[in-house]
Amino acid sequence: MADVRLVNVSKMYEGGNTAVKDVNIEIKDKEFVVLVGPSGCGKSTTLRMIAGLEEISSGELIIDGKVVNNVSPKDRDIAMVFQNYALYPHMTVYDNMAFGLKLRKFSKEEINQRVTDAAKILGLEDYLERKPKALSGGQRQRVAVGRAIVRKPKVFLFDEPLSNLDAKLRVQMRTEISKLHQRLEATMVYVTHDQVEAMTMGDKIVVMKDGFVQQIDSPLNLYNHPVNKFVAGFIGSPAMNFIPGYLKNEGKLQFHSNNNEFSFPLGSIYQEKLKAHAGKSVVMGIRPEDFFDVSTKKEGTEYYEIIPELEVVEPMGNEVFLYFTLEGVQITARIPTRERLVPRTKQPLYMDLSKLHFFDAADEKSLLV
Amino acid sequence: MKNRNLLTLLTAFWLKLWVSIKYFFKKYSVKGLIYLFLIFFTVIAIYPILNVFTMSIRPGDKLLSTSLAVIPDNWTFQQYVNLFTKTDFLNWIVNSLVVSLTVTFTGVVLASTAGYAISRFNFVGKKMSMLGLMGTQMFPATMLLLPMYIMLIKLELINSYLGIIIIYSATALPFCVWQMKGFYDTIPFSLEESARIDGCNRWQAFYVIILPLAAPALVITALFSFMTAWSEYIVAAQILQDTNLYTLPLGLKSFESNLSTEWGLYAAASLVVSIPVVILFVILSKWLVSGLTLGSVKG
Repeated sequence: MADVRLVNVSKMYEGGNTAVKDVNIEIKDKEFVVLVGPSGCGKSTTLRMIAGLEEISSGELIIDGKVVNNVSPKDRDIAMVFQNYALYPHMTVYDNMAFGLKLRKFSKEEINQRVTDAAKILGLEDYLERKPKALSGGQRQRVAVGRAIVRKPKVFLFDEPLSNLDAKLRVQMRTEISKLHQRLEATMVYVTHDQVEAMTMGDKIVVMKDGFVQQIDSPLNLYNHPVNKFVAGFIGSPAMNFIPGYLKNEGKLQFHSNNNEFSFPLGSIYQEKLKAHAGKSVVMGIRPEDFFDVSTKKEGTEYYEIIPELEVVEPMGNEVFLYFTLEGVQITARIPTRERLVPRTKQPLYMDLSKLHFFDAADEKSLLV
Repeated sequence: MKNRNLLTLLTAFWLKLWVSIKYFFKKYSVKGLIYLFLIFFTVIAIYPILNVFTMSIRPGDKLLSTSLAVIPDNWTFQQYVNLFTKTDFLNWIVNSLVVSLTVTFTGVVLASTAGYAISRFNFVGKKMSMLGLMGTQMFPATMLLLPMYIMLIKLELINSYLGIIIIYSATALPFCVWQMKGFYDTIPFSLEESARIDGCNRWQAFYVIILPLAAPALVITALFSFMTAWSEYIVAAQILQDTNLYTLPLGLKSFESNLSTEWGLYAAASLVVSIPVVILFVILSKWLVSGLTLGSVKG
């Protein structure tokens, strides 16, 4: 196993398109790192550069202490699981898994041993003689994973491996890959556009946008302390609500929404941190789960009460999603209640004033980090 | 009451009979029409071949008979015996096989690699070379005859296998390259990428992974190249003047002379010539069908 370092790595295409700009990522040995971001953010390109499938335009890629910019994919000792599985259709499951070992001239016994072991781990023992077309999507995905693990490479790379599976299977495979990581104690780099996968699987998450790294942090830190509005909106489901406004010092620091529909004094934890930003245009962020109703709000917490008219009510069983408009902005609230709420009625809701986020309206950077 | 029961029974019977008749016609009339149609065109296709066969087994004195019998009176295989014993037919077969198999081999090797390069790599002049290849297909072969002839004279390749092999390959290649390129385009890039990560270099990824998957397209390329050379007459007639080098179409034509034509030999030879092609088609037809559909639909 090995650590992977990307130092000022960029990828420029002919014609001047830049896919990845000046990326610095440090992946420690045995770490599970997830690259996440919307389509076209450069996460797959970054992964493909680590794999050696894309040339690195500038910067250095270091695997296990060695610069590997000019090393061909086969000599990097990595394994990759592709989004479309990329199984060899003319080979059986056994041959698919054994292919890499055969090329590396392993003995027949060793190959047999490793393939059988991997098949046992992945529950593929009964399918070894089948061709990929005779397998279901989930089984194909397992074969793709099996092909990677038999090689015992330094680094595992996953390129959106679950996006072709149905929702139920995706959850199942997600936990299986996490288990596999614990079992193999391997360095893994995982690309996804699904922030739920990122949050649940990663030791460390790299959030990317437009080729730039936005933030590298643990899942909880990303959730609690996003460095900018993009990260705040991308991590968390449903996404964070943003209300534009400004800060005003009236003895105590107050947040006013832009058209003064509402204003409230900031909680004590923000007074000190945001003092320097008084008078500034800001965007306030609040996560849907930081709204409460009368029955669920806790004593001793500072709240601000709003009474919006509910537009849509989505009962999920253990909780309810509420949609309403505030300040001309569509707001989502997620209330842990089992009560039946009725659309087109006014409903008092409480914003937890200790869970707010503030971003500079101009550069969208967090004012709290 | 009894009458009423009888009436109901009769009505039910007639109704059932009517439904059965309707069903029978519905089921068989459409199918019947289709079969009639198919049989009609099959007869149209087979009749000339049957006629040639009849002619090949007629005794020498009845060659110009107007009888329509498929198996003539006093039928004989003498023409076939003569073909192999009294003419250069075996020599022509060998010549044709040498030329056709070389053209097939060249076609498969060059088209499979050129198609791959065009499908997978970006290089200067890629678009132009593709259009150029396509452009060569726009000219009728006879139009190219003179320039090709002059070129071969300058290269001193007239009256040689090499000359005709080059011309046949050049004629067959553009289509084959386009065809192979189209097929490679349907094979996902990730297969080669996966192979390269598994331990292949670019060349290995091509011949271990991609080439076996392109087998249907290779079969079409091989068939097309073979057919181009096997049955070609006009170009061969200009380039091969030495009778020892004659390919089958030239040999067959030599049965025609100013005074008389040996129709019996002609017919027998025609049938023998078509046998390898038929066998090739039967063996490869499985690939041919899947090849044509696989190329068009990504699956």
